[in-house]
Amino acid sequence: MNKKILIVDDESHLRFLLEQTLEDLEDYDIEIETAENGELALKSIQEEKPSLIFLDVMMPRVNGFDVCSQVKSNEDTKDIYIVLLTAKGQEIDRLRGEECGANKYLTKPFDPDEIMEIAANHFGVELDF
Amino acid sequence: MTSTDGFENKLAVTISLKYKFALFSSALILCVCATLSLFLMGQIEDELNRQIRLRGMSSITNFSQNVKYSMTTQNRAFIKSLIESEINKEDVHHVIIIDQKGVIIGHNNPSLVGKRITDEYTQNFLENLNEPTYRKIPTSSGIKVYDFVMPITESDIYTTERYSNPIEARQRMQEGRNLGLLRIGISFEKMETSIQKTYSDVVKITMAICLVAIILAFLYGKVVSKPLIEMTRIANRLATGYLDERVNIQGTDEISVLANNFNTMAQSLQESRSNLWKLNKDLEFMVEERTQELLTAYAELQELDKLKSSFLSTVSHELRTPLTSILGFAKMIDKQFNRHIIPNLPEDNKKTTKAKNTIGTNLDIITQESNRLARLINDVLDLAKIESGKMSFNFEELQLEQLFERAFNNLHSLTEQSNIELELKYSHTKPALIKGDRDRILQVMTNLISNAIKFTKDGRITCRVEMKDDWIQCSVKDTGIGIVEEDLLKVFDKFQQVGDTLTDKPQGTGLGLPICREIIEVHNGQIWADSKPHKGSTFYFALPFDQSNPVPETVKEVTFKLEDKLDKMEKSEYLILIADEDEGVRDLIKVSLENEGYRTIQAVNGKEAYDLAREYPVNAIIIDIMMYDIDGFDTPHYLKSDDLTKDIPIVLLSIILNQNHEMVLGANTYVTDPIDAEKILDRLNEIVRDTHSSLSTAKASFVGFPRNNRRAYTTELKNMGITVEHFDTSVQFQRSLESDLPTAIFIDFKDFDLSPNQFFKMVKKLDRTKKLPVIAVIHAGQVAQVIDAAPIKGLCSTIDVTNSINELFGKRIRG
Repeated sequence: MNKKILIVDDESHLRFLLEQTLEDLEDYDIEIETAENGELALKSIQEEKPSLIFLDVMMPRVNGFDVCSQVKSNEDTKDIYIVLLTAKGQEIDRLRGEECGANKYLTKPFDPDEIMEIAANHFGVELDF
Repeated sequence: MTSTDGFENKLAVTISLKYKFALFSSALILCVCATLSLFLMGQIEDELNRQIRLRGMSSITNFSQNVKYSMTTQNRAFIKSLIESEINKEDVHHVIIIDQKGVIIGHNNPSLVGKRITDEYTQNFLENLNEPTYRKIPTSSGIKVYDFVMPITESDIYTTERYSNPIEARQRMQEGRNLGLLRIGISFEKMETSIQKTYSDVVKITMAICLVAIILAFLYGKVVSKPLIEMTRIANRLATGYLDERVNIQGTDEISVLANNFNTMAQSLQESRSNLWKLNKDLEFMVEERTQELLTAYAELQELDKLKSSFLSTVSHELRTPLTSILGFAKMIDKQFNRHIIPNLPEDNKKTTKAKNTIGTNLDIITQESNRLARLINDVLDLAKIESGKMSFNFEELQLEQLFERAFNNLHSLTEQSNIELELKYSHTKPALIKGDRDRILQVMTNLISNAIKFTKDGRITCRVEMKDDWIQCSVKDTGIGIVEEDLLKVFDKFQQVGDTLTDKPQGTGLGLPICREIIEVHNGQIWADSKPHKGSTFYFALPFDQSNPVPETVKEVTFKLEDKLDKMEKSEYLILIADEDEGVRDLIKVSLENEGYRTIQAVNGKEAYDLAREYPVNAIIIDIMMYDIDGFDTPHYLKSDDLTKDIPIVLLSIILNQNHEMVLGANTYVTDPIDAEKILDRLNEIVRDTHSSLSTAKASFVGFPRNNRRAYTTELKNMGITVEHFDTSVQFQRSLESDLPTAIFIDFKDFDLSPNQFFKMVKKLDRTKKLPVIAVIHAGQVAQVIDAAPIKGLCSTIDVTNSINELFGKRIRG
């Protein structure tokens, strides 16, 4: 398993927050990459092959749902664990998230601890909080 | 108008006035005649008796004068000659002389002389008779004779003058010795016969008079009652709704005056009915207008509501993103502060310690308030979603006691820290089952209980589930601070936290109870509260067993269900089918629609239109309303009954091209078959309203209408004072247009000798007639239903057509 996490969000503050939240994992040789939109994210996924993606839904041009369904429909990348992050806590969005194959769906504002827990579980890392 | 039902005449004439009059007169005449005849006959009878008596008495007196001496002397020969002379009189039947001993001393039958009388009749007279008398007796020959009987006494003979010795005479007279009897039978047969004849004459004449009089009485009765009968008939007709009937009675007597007044009354009745109808229709029109305005306002409101929820959704999204940063970074700061800063701080510095604590508290506050903001955003969104009908509810069978238990578990942490006891009470044995959304009902319960906990420092919170008639009532009762009465209704309003917000810092979002109310109302239930300050509050909600039967009482706000967003298709994506037999019309519409950006296809008849609509993804169909009349193919019917095409909107039009190839409106509007007076009057009223004329002086021409159904509406129209004319052929109709023009033309093309195109071209050709409103009858059931549901207005130009298509797809006209 590739020890890489990709953070995709068009808001630099949130990318920064997620990076900070997960930076403790760098001690375990886990790399953290970021992308600021869907296109870059897809490019980065092809090149870096991360095993965990935190993906914002609301992004210009290629949104999170589209990125997610592309990743999940590609044989090479379909096993990537995708966590969708959205501010639109609507039922329909959750359903769309499930439809495009996301592994988890978090509504903003999310708890940094929860993000950390997901990542730690994914890589099998035991952290002391 | 419900035609005539209300005016049915319950009082039918059972006995005509003329019979009553005749019967009464006849009875009177009969009485008079009978009385007169009886009186007359009585008089005659009396006279007869008098005559008989006179004649008989004078006969017998004369005879007795002649015979009495001979009786004393018993001179039989003389008696015999007297008798013979007497019996020779024509009417004398018998003469009998009897002495006091009962011996016949003279008889018209000489053989009986000298014999004794034996019959009791004579014996009786002999013994008792003092006065002359007579009676009617039957004889052996069968005829009846009057038998005059006279006693002969001595005093008849021995008068004072005749005796030389008056003393002897007086003695004898006193004795009055009976000498015998005289009997003379006289037959009055002739007289009686003539009297009988008179009688029968009297009866005959009386009967004749009676008969004539009765006939006259009947005739007179008929003459007198005729105008009354006529008026009764007309009154009946009026009462059954035929208001155009008038009484036709000439003359100057009271009945004629009555008839005149009656006519005036009928006239004013007709006018007021016509006015009433017009008023009614105007009112309907106004109501329709207002309804339209209301609908527009409603649509605007819906639009606003849509905007509001999309605004809320966007706003909450925009709020959540920065909130995520705030919360996230607060947590990061807290973590890093605790992990990296605090261990490195000098422990003995008071200020540093204080600042450390303050930073910790402040970070807590940031986290708490951010969380509150997040909750608030969630609540606002929830509320907006419920209000706009976008929240989906999954209805399933729920057991309310179980749900309360779950709510208790959820709130366990809250109660643990306080002195509050939670309890659930229910008296029923079987579980309280209702249909509802599990999560939402649980949300209501959790909300109510957490509210109760929030406002109760220590005490008891009791939840109760009770079965009522058609619903289940739940309540959450606390022993907290309570609510004053005027605030009780406000607690369910948005952002209303009761109490002084300056002193009591609100702890929640102020949206919990409004959300509860919305949820309960979606379940067709009711929610309300009851409270006493410082004693505690009880919040109730009631849910119906049967969702289709809402919990009664209390006012409900109407929740507007928002329609889906307008289709965002481009005009060029719309394909419109134009079906009209006239190529010119098709081309004009095609050009104007294509200029507008739409794509079009064309059909020349109904069948082709139907086939094309099935084959192509058509978005709308413009169809000539008269087309089915021409080719007999009820296109709208087939379109509406085919699953492939039934949802395609149909725009009906009736357009023809004039000589200059301009579009001209064919029929102004339509009535649908089966037609009745109501529909005709509706259309007529619209036209009258537009032209500011009066309904009661309107003239309607009916062209090509089948004869069998005419009567029904004609009467009703005439009642309104409307002149009605019928024409079966185009020739008749064309001739009528040369004289007085009608207010409106109603045309039924079904069995008419001209096609709609020919007819409209004929009417629209002449300047005189081209403005005449034409109302066409639509026969096909499906079209009729479409039109009845939404009466179409005249679409008479390409702009009208494109407008109506634009309207259909919610586009604005370009430019």
